[in-house]
Amino acid sequence: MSSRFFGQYLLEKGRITSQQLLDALECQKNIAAPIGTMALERGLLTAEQIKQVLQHQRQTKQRFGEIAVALGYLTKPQLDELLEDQETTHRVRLGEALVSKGYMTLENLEKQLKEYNKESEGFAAEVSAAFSNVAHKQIVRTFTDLMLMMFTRFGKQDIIIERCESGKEKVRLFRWVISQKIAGENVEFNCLLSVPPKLLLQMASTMLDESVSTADELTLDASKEFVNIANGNACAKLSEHGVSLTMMPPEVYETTTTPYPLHTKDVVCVHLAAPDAKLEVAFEF
Amino acid sequence: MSEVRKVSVLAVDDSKTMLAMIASQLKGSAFEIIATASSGPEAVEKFKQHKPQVVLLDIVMPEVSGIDTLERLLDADTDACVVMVSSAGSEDNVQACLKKGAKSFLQKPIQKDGMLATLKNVCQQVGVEL
Repeated sequence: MSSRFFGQYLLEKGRITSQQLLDALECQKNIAAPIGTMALERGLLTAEQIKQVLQHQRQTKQRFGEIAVALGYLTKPQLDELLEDQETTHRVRLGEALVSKGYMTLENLEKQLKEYNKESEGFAAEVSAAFSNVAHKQIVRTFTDLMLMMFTRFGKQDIIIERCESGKEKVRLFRWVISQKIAGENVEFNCLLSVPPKLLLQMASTMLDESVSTADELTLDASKEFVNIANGNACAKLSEHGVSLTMMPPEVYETTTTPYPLHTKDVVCVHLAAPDAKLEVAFEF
Repeated sequence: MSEVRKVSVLAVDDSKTMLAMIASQLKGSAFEIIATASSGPEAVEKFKQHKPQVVLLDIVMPEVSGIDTLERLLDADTDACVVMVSSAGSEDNVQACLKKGAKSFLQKPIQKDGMLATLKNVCQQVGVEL
Protein backbone atom coordinates (compact mmCIF):
# COMPACT_ATOMS: atom_id res chain seq x y z
CA MET A 1 0.00 0.00 0.00
CA SER A 2 1.53 3.24 -1.01
CA SER A 3 1.01 6.19 -3.26
CA ARG A 4 4.52 7.39 -3.73
CA PHE A 5 5.28 9.52 -6.75
CA PHE A 6 6.97 7.82 -9.70
CA GLY A 7 10.47 9.10 -8.87
CA GLN A 8 10.27 7.83 -5.31
CA TYR A 9 8.99 4.49 -6.62
CA LEU A 10 12.03 4.15 -8.91
CA LEU A 11 14.39 5.23 -6.13
CA GLU A 12 12.99 2.72 -3.69
CA LYS A 13 13.14 -0.08 -6.25
CA GLY A 14 16.81 0.79 -6.87
CA ARG A 15 16.11 1.56 -10.56
CA ILE A 16 17.77 4.97 -10.28
CA THR A 17 20.08 6.67 -7.76
CA SER A 18 19.16 9.69 -5.68
CA GLN A 19 21.53 11.84 -7.76
CA GLN A 20 19.86 10.69 -10.97
CA LEU A 21 16.45 11.51 -9.48
CA LEU A 22 17.65 14.94 -8.42
CA ASP A 23 19.05 15.60 -11.91
CA ALA A 24 15.84 14.41 -13.55
CA LEU A 25 13.64 16.51 -11.24
CA GLU A 26 15.66 19.59 -12.18
CA CYS A 27 15.63 18.67 -15.87
CA GLN A 28 11.87 17.98 -16.03
CA LYS A 29 11.05 21.62 -15.28
CA ASN A 30 12.27 22.50 -18.77
CA ILE A 31 10.53 19.65 -20.53
CA ALA A 32 7.05 19.77 -22.02
CA ALA A 33 5.41 16.40 -21.59
CA PRO A 34 5.88 14.63 -24.92
CA ILE A 35 2.81 13.04 -26.45
CA GLY A 36 4.73 9.81 -27.08
CA THR A 37 5.72 9.27 -23.46
CA MET A 38 2.24 10.23 -22.26
CA ALA A 39 0.77 7.64 -24.62
CA LEU A 40 3.34 5.12 -23.39
CA GLU A 41 2.29 5.73 -19.81
CA ARG A 42 -1.36 5.11 -20.64
CA GLY A 43 -0.57 1.98 -22.61
CA LEU A 44 -1.73 3.55 -25.89
CA LEU A 45 1.66 3.22 -27.58
CA THR A 46 4.56 0.81 -27.11
CA ALA A 47 8.21 1.83 -27.04
CA GLU A 48 8.61 0.24 -30.48
CA GLN A 49 5.73 2.26 -31.96
CA ILE A 50 7.22 5.47 -30.54
CA LYS A 51 10.52 4.72 -32.22
CA GLN A 52 8.73 4.19 -35.54
CA VAL A 53 6.83 7.47 -35.20
CA LEU A 54 10.06 9.30 -34.33
CA GLN A 55 11.71 7.76 -37.41
CA HIS A 56 8.85 9.08 -39.61
CA GLN A 57 9.08 12.42 -37.86
CA ARG A 58 12.74 12.82 -38.80
CA GLN A 59 11.81 12.29 -42.46
CA THR A 60 8.57 14.24 -42.68
CA LYS A 61 8.95 16.95 -39.98
CA GLN A 62 5.25 16.44 -39.12
CA ARG A 63 4.02 16.56 -35.54
CA PHE A 64 4.37 13.37 -33.46
CA GLY A 65 0.62 13.08 -32.80
CA GLU A 66 -0.34 13.55 -36.44
CA ILE A 67 2.02 10.77 -37.53
CA ALA A 68 0.81 8.42 -34.78
CA VAL A 69 -2.78 8.95 -35.97
CA ALA A 70 -1.78 8.54 -39.65
CA LEU A 71 -0.04 5.26 -38.85
CA GLY A 72 -3.14 4.08 -36.99
CA TYR A 73 -1.40 3.84 -33.63
CA LEU A 74 -3.61 6.48 -32.03
CA THR A 75 -7.17 7.60 -32.77
CA LYS A 76 -7.93 11.31 -33.12
CA PRO A 77 -9.98 11.41 -29.86
CA GLN A 78 -7.07 9.72 -28.05
CA LEU A 79 -4.67 12.35 -29.41
CA ASP A 80 -7.03 15.19 -28.42
CA GLU A 81 -7.24 13.88 -24.88
CA LEU A 82 -3.46 13.55 -24.66
CA LEU A 83 -3.03 17.14 -25.86
CA GLU A 84 -5.52 18.35 -23.25
CA ASP A 85 -3.65 16.62 -20.45
CA GLN A 86 -0.22 17.65 -21.63
CA GLU A 87 0.18 20.39 -19.02
CA THR A 88 -0.51 18.31 -15.95
CA THR A 89 1.55 15.19 -16.22
CA HIS A 90 4.48 15.33 -13.80
CA ARG A 91 5.10 11.61 -14.02
CA VAL A 92 5.59 11.67 -17.76
CA ARG A 93 7.95 14.64 -17.64
CA LEU A 94 10.05 12.82 -15.05
CA GLY A 95 10.15 9.69 -17.22
CA GLU A 96 11.12 11.77 -20.23
CA ALA A 97 13.87 13.48 -18.21
CA LEU A 98 15.27 10.10 -17.12
CA VAL A 99 15.31 8.86 -20.72
CA SER A 100 16.84 12.06 -22.10
CA LYS A 101 19.56 11.97 -19.43
CA GLY A 102 20.36 8.39 -20.43
CA TYR A 103 19.46 7.01 -16.97
CA MET A 104 16.80 4.73 -18.41
CA THR A 105 15.90 3.27 -21.82
CA LEU A 106 12.48 3.86 -23.35
CA GLU A 107 11.79 0.13 -23.07
CA ASN A 108 12.67 0.11 -19.39
CA LEU A 109 10.53 3.21 -18.80
CA GLU A 110 7.60 1.40 -20.43
CA LYS A 111 8.10 -1.55 -18.08
CA GLN A 112 8.51 0.62 -14.98
CA LEU A 113 5.44 2.73 -15.77
CA LYS A 114 3.34 -0.40 -16.24
CA GLU A 115 4.47 -1.82 -12.90
CA TYR A 116 3.98 1.53 -11.17
CA ASN A 117 0.50 2.06 -12.57
CA LYS A 118 -0.55 -1.47 -11.67
CA GLU A 119 0.50 -0.80 -8.09
CA SER A 120 -1.13 2.61 -7.86
CA GLU A 121 -4.46 1.95 -9.51
CA GLY A 122 -7.36 -0.07 -8.31
CA PHE A 123 -8.46 1.89 -5.30
CA ALA A 124 -9.60 5.05 -7.01
CA ALA A 125 -12.49 3.14 -8.51
CA GLU A 126 -13.79 2.17 -5.09
CA VAL A 127 -14.41 5.74 -4.00
CA SER A 128 -17.67 6.46 -5.74
CA ALA A 129 -19.92 9.37 -6.63
CA ALA A 130 -20.54 9.94 -2.91
CA PHE A 131 -18.34 13.00 -3.10
CA SER A 132 -20.00 14.79 -5.98
CA ASN A 133 -21.49 17.66 -3.97
CA VAL A 134 -19.02 18.32 -1.18
CA ALA A 135 -16.62 21.24 -0.80
CA HIS A 136 -12.92 20.55 -1.35
CA LYS A 137 -13.94 17.40 -3.18
CA GLN A 138 -10.44 16.48 -4.33
CA ILE A 139 -9.00 16.69 -0.80
CA VAL A 140 -11.91 14.88 0.84
CA ARG A 141 -11.87 12.14 -1.74
CA THR A 142 -8.11 11.61 -1.70
CA PHE A 143 -7.76 11.54 2.10
CA THR A 144 -10.73 9.19 2.43
CA ASP A 145 -9.39 7.01 -0.36
CA LEU A 146 -6.00 6.64 1.32
CA MET A 147 -7.56 6.02 4.75
CA LEU A 148 -9.65 3.25 3.19
CA MET A 149 -6.56 1.88 1.52
CA MET A 150 -4.76 1.85 4.86
CA PHE A 151 -7.59 -0.14 6.47
CA THR A 152 -8.24 -2.52 3.63
CA ARG A 153 -4.80 -3.25 2.18
CA PHE A 154 -2.59 -2.74 5.19
CA GLY A 155 -5.06 -3.67 7.91
CA LYS A 156 -6.85 -6.36 5.86
CA GLN A 157 -10.27 -5.06 6.90
CA ASP A 158 -13.30 -4.52 4.71
CA ILE A 159 -14.42 -0.92 5.01
CA ILE A 160 -17.08 0.66 2.83
CA ILE A 161 -18.24 4.24 2.32
CA GLU A 162 -21.83 4.66 3.49
CA ARG A 163 -22.36 8.34 2.69
CA CYS A 164 -20.75 11.74 2.70
CA GLU A 165 -22.41 14.79 4.28
CA SER A 166 -21.64 18.43 5.03
CA GLY A 167 -22.25 20.20 8.36
CA LYS A 168 -20.83 19.72 11.82
CA GLU A 169 -24.12 18.34 13.14
CA LYS A 170 -23.55 15.34 10.88
CA VAL A 171 -20.40 14.32 12.75
CA ARG A 172 -21.08 11.65 15.35
CA LEU A 173 -17.62 11.36 16.94
CA PHE A 174 -16.89 7.95 18.39
CA ARG A 175 -14.86 7.40 21.53
CA TRP A 176 -11.45 7.92 19.94
CA VAL A 177 -10.56 10.78 17.63
CA ILE A 178 -7.20 11.14 15.94
CA SER A 179 -6.79 14.59 14.51
CA GLN A 180 -4.08 15.90 12.23
CA LYS A 181 -3.64 19.49 11.09
CA ILE A 182 -2.81 19.82 7.41
CA ALA A 183 -2.03 23.04 5.58
CA GLY A 184 -1.27 24.21 2.07
CA GLU A 185 -0.99 27.49 0.22
CA ASN A 186 -4.73 28.11 -0.04
CA VAL A 187 -6.21 25.64 2.37
CA GLU A 188 -5.92 24.61 6.00
CA PHE A 189 -7.89 21.86 7.68
CA ASN A 190 -8.00 19.20 10.36
CA CYS A 191 -8.47 15.65 9.20
CA LEU A 192 -10.17 13.54 11.88
CA LEU A 193 -10.47 9.81 12.08
CA SER A 194 -13.09 8.87 14.65
CA VAL A 195 -13.35 5.23 15.71
CA PRO A 196 -14.86 3.06 18.48
CA PRO A 197 -12.45 1.27 20.87
CA LYS A 198 -12.54 -1.98 18.94
CA LEU A 199 -11.26 -0.37 15.75
CA LEU A 200 -8.62 1.60 17.61
CA LEU A 201 -7.21 -1.67 18.93
CA GLN A 202 -7.36 -3.19 15.46
CA MET A 203 -5.47 -0.24 13.97
CA ALA A 204 -2.77 -0.54 16.63
CA SER A 205 -2.56 -4.30 16.15
CA THR A 206 -1.99 -3.75 12.43
CA MET A 207 0.84 -1.33 13.11
CA LEU A 208 2.48 -3.34 15.88
CA ASP A 209 1.98 -6.66 14.13
CA GLU A 210 0.63 -8.20 17.30
CA SER A 211 -2.74 -8.30 19.01
CA VAL A 212 -3.31 -5.48 21.49
CA SER A 213 -6.17 -5.36 23.97
CA THR A 214 -5.79 -2.10 25.91
CA ALA A 215 -5.67 1.52 24.83
CA ASP A 216 -2.33 2.19 26.48
CA GLU A 217 0.36 4.66 25.44
CA LEU A 218 1.83 2.37 22.78
CA THR A 219 -1.62 1.62 21.31
CA LEU A 220 -2.34 5.34 20.98
CA ASP A 221 1.09 5.94 19.46
CA ALA A 222 0.51 3.18 16.92
CA SER A 223 -2.94 4.54 16.05
CA LYS A 224 -1.53 8.02 15.49
CA GLU A 225 1.11 6.55 13.19
CA PHE A 226 -1.62 4.66 11.30
CA VAL A 227 -3.37 7.97 10.59
CA ASN A 228 -0.10 9.75 9.87
CA ILE A 229 0.81 7.21 7.20
CA ALA A 230 -2.61 7.37 5.53
CA ASN A 231 -2.61 11.18 5.51
CA GLY A 232 0.99 11.42 4.35
CA ASN A 233 0.23 9.17 1.42
CA ALA A 234 -2.78 11.36 0.62
CA CYS A 235 -0.53 14.44 0.61
CA ALA A 236 1.87 12.63 -1.72
CA LYS A 237 -1.01 11.70 -4.04
CA LEU A 238 -2.31 15.27 -4.15
CA SER A 239 1.15 16.62 -4.87
CA GLU A 240 0.94 14.83 -8.23
CA HIS A 241 -1.92 17.21 -9.01
CA GLY A 242 -0.02 20.30 -7.94
CA VAL A 243 -1.54 20.49 -4.44
CA SER A 244 1.28 20.97 -1.95
CA LEU A 245 0.38 20.18 1.67
CA THR A 246 2.34 19.84 4.90
CA MET A 247 1.27 17.98 8.03
CA MET A 248 1.65 18.52 11.75
CA PRO A 249 2.04 15.50 14.04
CA PRO A 250 -1.35 13.88 14.84
CA GLU A 251 -3.09 14.24 18.21
CA VAL A 252 -5.41 11.79 19.90
CA TYR A 253 -8.55 12.54 21.95
CA GLU A 254 -10.60 10.23 24.10
CA THR A 255 -13.94 11.97 23.69
CA THR A 256 -15.46 10.58 26.89
CA THR A 257 -12.88 12.51 28.92
CA THR A 258 -11.67 15.18 26.48
CA PRO A 259 -14.46 16.23 24.12
CA TYR A 260 -13.18 17.09 20.69
CA PRO A 261 -14.02 20.73 19.95
CA LEU A 262 -15.54 20.86 16.47
CA HIS A 263 -15.36 24.58 15.89
CA THR A 264 -15.32 25.35 12.19
CA LYS A 265 -18.33 25.97 10.00
CA ASP A 266 -17.29 23.93 7.01
CA VAL A 267 -17.20 20.33 8.10
CA VAL A 268 -17.43 17.40 5.72
CA CYS A 269 -18.05 13.99 7.22
CA VAL A 270 -17.58 10.68 5.46
CA HIS A 271 -19.40 7.85 7.22
CA LEU A 272 -17.69 4.51 6.85
CA ALA A 273 -18.59 1.00 7.94
CA ALA A 274 -16.53 -2.04 8.85
CA PRO A 275 -18.38 -5.40 9.04
CA ASP A 276 -19.06 -4.94 12.77
CA ALA A 277 -18.39 -1.28 13.52
CA LYS A 278 -18.94 2.23 12.22
CA LEU A 279 -16.27 4.88 11.87
CA GLU A 280 -15.92 8.26 10.22
CA VAL A 281 -13.41 10.50 8.56
CA ALA A 282 -14.22 14.20 8.98
CA PHE A 283 -12.63 17.33 7.62
CA GLU A 284 -12.76 20.70 9.39
CA PHE A 285 -11.99 23.38 6.83
CA MET B 1 35.91 -17.24 12.87
CA SER B 2 35.46 -13.46 13.14
CA GLU B 3 31.94 -12.07 13.44
CA VAL B 4 30.62 -10.11 10.43
CA ARG B 5 30.46 -6.46 11.38
CA LYS B 6 27.04 -4.92 10.83
CA VAL B 7 26.34 -1.41 9.55
CA SER B 8 25.37 0.79 12.49
CA VAL B 9 22.06 2.66 12.27
CA LEU B 10 20.53 5.48 14.31
CA ALA B 11 16.73 5.40 13.95
CA VAL B 12 14.88 8.66 14.63
CA ASP B 13 11.09 8.85 14.92
CA ASP B 14 8.70 10.40 17.44
CA SER B 15 6.58 7.28 17.15
CA LYS B 16 7.66 4.32 19.28
CA THR B 17 5.64 2.15 16.94
CA MET B 18 7.75 3.15 13.96
CA LEU B 19 10.97 2.60 15.91
CA ALA B 20 9.76 -0.89 16.85
CA MET B 21 8.71 -1.58 13.27
CA ILE B 22 12.09 -0.50 11.88
CA ALA B 23 13.93 -2.59 14.48
CA SER B 24 11.83 -5.63 13.66
CA GLN B 25 12.41 -5.23 9.91
CA LEU B 26 16.18 -4.87 10.32
CA LYS B 27 16.43 -7.94 12.52
CA GLY B 28 18.72 -10.55 10.99
CA SER B 29 19.94 -8.15 8.28
CA ALA B 30 23.34 -6.56 7.71
CA PHE B 31 22.14 -3.48 9.62
CA GLU B 32 21.99 -2.97 13.35
CA ILE B 33 20.22 -0.24 15.30
CA ILE B 34 22.77 1.02 17.79
CA ALA B 35 20.61 3.89 19.11
CA THR B 36 17.19 5.46 18.72
CA ALA B 37 15.93 9.01 19.22
CA SER B 38 12.42 10.41 19.42
CA SER B 39 13.15 14.05 18.58
CA GLY B 40 15.49 16.17 16.48
CA PRO B 41 17.67 17.44 19.34
CA GLU B 42 17.99 13.93 20.77
CA ALA B 43 18.97 12.66 17.30
CA VAL B 44 21.82 15.18 17.06
CA GLU B 45 23.03 14.25 20.54
CA LYS B 46 22.91 10.48 19.82
CA PHE B 47 24.55 11.02 16.44
CA LYS B 48 27.54 12.77 18.02
CA GLN B 49 27.71 10.18 20.77
CA HIS B 50 27.41 6.99 18.69
CA LYS B 51 28.68 8.08 15.25
CA PRO B 52 26.33 5.74 13.31
CA GLN B 53 27.11 4.89 9.69
CA VAL B 54 23.51 5.51 8.60
CA VAL B 55 20.68 7.61 10.08
CA LEU B 56 17.02 6.84 9.38
CA LEU B 57 15.28 10.16 10.03
CA ASP B 58 11.53 10.82 10.23
CA ILE B 59 10.32 14.16 8.82
CA VAL B 60 7.07 14.95 10.64
CA MET B 61 8.14 15.40 14.27
CA PRO B 62 7.01 17.93 16.87
CA GLU B 63 9.12 21.05 17.53
CA VAL B 64 12.15 20.37 15.33
CA SER B 65 11.24 18.78 12.00
CA GLY B 66 13.28 16.06 10.33
CA ILE B 67 14.41 18.49 7.63
CA ASP B 68 15.82 20.92 10.23
CA THR B 69 17.41 17.97 12.01
CA LEU B 70 19.01 16.87 8.74
CA GLU B 71 20.73 20.26 8.52
CA ARG B 72 21.99 19.96 12.09
CA LEU B 73 23.34 16.47 11.46
CA LEU B 74 25.16 17.67 8.36
CA ASP B 75 26.53 20.62 10.36
CA ALA B 76 27.92 18.10 12.81
CA ASP B 77 29.36 15.90 10.06
CA THR B 78 29.18 16.86 6.39
CA ASP B 79 29.53 13.20 5.44
CA ALA B 80 26.57 12.06 7.53
CA CYS B 81 24.65 9.39 5.61
CA VAL B 82 21.00 10.23 6.22
CA VAL B 83 17.94 8.49 4.77
CA MET B 84 14.72 10.46 5.27
CA VAL B 85 11.58 8.56 6.24
CA SER B 86 8.09 9.96 5.82
CA SER B 87 4.59 9.09 4.79
CA ALA B 88 4.48 12.37 2.85
CA GLY B 89 6.63 11.32 -0.09
CA SER B 90 5.59 14.16 -2.38
CA GLU B 91 7.85 15.31 -5.17
CA ASP B 92 8.60 18.59 -3.36
CA ASN B 93 9.41 16.82 -0.12
CA VAL B 94 11.74 14.25 -1.67
CA GLN B 95 13.48 16.89 -3.77
CA ALA B 96 13.95 19.22 -0.78
CA CYS B 97 15.49 16.43 1.28
CA LEU B 98 17.87 15.25 -1.45
CA LYS B 99 18.90 18.84 -2.16
CA LYS B 100 19.68 19.42 1.49
CA GLY B 101 21.99 16.43 1.47
CA ALA B 102 19.91 13.37 2.36
CA LYS B 103 21.18 10.29 0.59
CA SER B 104 17.77 8.78 -0.05
CA PHE B 105 14.10 8.76 0.92
CA LEU B 106 11.85 6.01 2.22
CA GLN B 107 8.09 6.28 2.20
CA LYS B 108 5.93 4.92 5.01
CA PRO B 109 4.54 2.36 5.40
CA ILE B 110 8.06 1.01 5.18
CA GLN B 111 8.35 -2.31 3.44
CA LYS B 112 11.23 -4.50 4.53
CA ASP B 113 12.53 -5.15 1.01
CA GLY B 114 12.40 -1.47 0.10
CA MET B 115 14.20 -0.42 3.26
CA LEU B 116 16.97 -3.00 2.89
CA ALA B 117 17.44 -2.13 -0.80
CA THR B 118 17.60 1.58 0.03
CA LEU B 119 20.08 1.05 2.85
CA LYS B 120 22.26 -1.10 0.58
CA ASN B 121 22.15 1.55 -2.14
CA VAL B 122 23.19 4.38 0.17
CA CYS B 123 25.97 2.26 1.64
CA GLN B 124 27.29 1.69 -1.87
CA GLN B 125 26.99 5.44 -2.60
CA VAL B 126 29.06 6.45 0.41
CA GLY B 127 31.48 3.52 0.34
CA VAL B 128 30.31 1.72 3.48
CA GLU B 129 31.23 -1.93 3.18
CA LEU B 130 28.49 -4.49 3.72
